[in-house]
Amino acid sequence: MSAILALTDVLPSKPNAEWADPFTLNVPKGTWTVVRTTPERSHLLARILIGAKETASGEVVVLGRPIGKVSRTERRLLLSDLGVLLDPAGLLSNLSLIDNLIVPAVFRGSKGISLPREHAEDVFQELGIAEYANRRPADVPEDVRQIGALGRALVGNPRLLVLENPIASVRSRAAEDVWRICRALAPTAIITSFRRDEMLYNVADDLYLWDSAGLRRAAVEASA
Amino acid sequence: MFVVDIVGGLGRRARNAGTAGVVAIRLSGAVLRAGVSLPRAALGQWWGAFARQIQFTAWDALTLVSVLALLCGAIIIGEANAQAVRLGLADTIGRIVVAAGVREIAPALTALIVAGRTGTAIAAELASARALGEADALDALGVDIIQYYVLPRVAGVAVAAMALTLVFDAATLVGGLITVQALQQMSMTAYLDSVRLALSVSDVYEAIGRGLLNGAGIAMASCVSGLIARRTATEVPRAVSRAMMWSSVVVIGVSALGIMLRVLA
Repeated sequence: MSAILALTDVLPSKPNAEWADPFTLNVPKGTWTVVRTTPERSHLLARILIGAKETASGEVVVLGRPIGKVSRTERRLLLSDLGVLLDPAGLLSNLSLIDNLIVPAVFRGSKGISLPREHAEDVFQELGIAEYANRRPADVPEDVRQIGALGRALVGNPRLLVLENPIASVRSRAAEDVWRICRALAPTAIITSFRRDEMLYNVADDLYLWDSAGLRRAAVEASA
Repeated sequence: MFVVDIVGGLGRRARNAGTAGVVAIRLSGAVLRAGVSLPRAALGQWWGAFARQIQFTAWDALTLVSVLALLCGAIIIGEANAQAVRLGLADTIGRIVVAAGVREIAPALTALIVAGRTGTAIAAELASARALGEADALDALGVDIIQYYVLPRVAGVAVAAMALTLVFDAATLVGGLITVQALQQMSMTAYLDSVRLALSVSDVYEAIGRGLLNGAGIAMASCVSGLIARRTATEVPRAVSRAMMWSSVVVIGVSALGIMLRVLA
């Protein structure tokens, strides 16, 4: 399987005690990869993957393009093919949940979506939060807010999902459903997290533990 | 966040090396490029944000600006009238109102009102968006934050400041007229003739130009101030204070530019 995301000998631009050794990882097309690590490494890794943080060395290739070396316009075009959820999720507080899906989609050119509202409504319907669609983020429970933010990443049929500490507040059974739906909507994903999440491990193909000893592959079942 | 890092880098360079002019030109270029490349699908959203900005900046401030302008006209006439009549220069009253009120005080005072009301609000909003991770999230989704945050605010505040400057000009002249009538030292016709002689079409163009420049400059300074804020709540008041300071520099700079151009002309 070809790698849809490849990190080779990556070090962050600012010296970091937690991330002192070069980091290498490939995410093959059609797989879900989870990297469990510390909060700081998780934060840095997610941002390096989307070109929001620079690297001191190494290369990050996303969908065949070196994201840290492309122009601002090219980076935006590349990001419009991804579905990204960072921590904090950063839902726009002055918009309703559904508008939080629609507005970014139209501003990035609505690639692949002819009718953003209908598409967003379908995503909400599938995720089971349609009844909250017209409420503002501050007016819905935390778990709904997190699922809404995940829905925003799923709009536009992303070729790659990049998630940082997703849906931590969602109950286990509901989380299992959410992950199953996400897996159906986005075939390839990389999730960085510092939390143990059994439901996520159930849908993941590869689980990596990244600690002071380095990056090592773990059996999904054993970790769960 | 990539774009914010660029803007932040520009802001830091301006502070450290005094290259504010270069920063302003580069940011203006970035705003223009963002305008040209705005996706067609986003036009509806963009017009909504643009209209809301005009409503907040101009419509909501109309009473305040009108009252201040009336008082301004009254003060100018009140100060100038006694001296002018005593020296037999009553026909210069209109010229004084136009020179002091319309050409200098109106654009500068309007701009300071816009900076105090709108500039600080923009800086607080964008610094909060940074603190809450909203700006980072939009950037991560491939949204150009200059298109989303900066462009509608710069365009909206520029148009609103221009409109408010014209309103301020008109209200200053009306304030002067009311005061002249109240003091009973000059007829309404004489006052209006005096104003008409002093006022030229270029004054209107200058008011429009200075209003647009002040508005755009204040909005850009405030947006940058908000977007370079670090991701903590305590950065919000710092961003507001920085926006007010930078906006004041913009207002004084535009006033100086106006005087220079008038002297050269």
